[in-house]
Amino acid sequence: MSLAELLPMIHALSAEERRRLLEILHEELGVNQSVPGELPPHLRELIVPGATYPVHTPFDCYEAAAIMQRLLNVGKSEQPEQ
Amino acid sequence: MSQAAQFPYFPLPGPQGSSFLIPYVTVRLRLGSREHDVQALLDSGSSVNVLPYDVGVRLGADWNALTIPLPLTGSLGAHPAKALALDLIVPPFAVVQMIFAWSRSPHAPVLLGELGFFDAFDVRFCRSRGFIEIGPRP
Repeated sequence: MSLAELLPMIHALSAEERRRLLEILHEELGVNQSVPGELPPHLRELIVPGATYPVHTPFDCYEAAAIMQRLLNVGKSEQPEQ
Repeated sequence: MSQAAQFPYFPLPGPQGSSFLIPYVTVRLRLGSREHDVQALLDSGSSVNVLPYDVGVRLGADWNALTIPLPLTGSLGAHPAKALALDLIVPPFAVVQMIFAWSRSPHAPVLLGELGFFDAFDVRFCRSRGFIEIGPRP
């Protein structure tokens, strides 16, 4: 397949697919290779310099969750029927 | 929500024969030509997406080469994290490139948080019916 045949198909791709194609070609040819995973400008501007990012989730606290569930069940059984 | 898809809650065995319904979804992460499927927790309590260290390494990310720190507080506050751009694929939706806080914690889960995932998708938790509804943002 020639480039002339390929070009119309490339133009038919979505912007996201063309970006992906560019990444693959850059990787294969080893040109303009930036650090993999480095933020592109449109993502970089979302990061606020000096900010911290909270992760509130108490993950893997299954015993605590079980205790809470038991307490909720007790609370439910003690509620008067309406 | 237009073009939304439903994902079942994941039943996780708990202590003493109990089980918990957890909002996990299977997603594909991609960095360059490397891809990895993970179970990710839909976590509106996390301000950012979080990636555990070993998954980043498996995807070929280089901790020392990344330059933007993303300091976390709370559950993962004890470990440094750096900003990493990954392609996220949640079938049947199109690929979205988003930021992950790549944590040095060996025990961090994959979290889909507010900055990134909840920016790109609308999520409806229907726990009583056993599913989560996800749709692309309007």
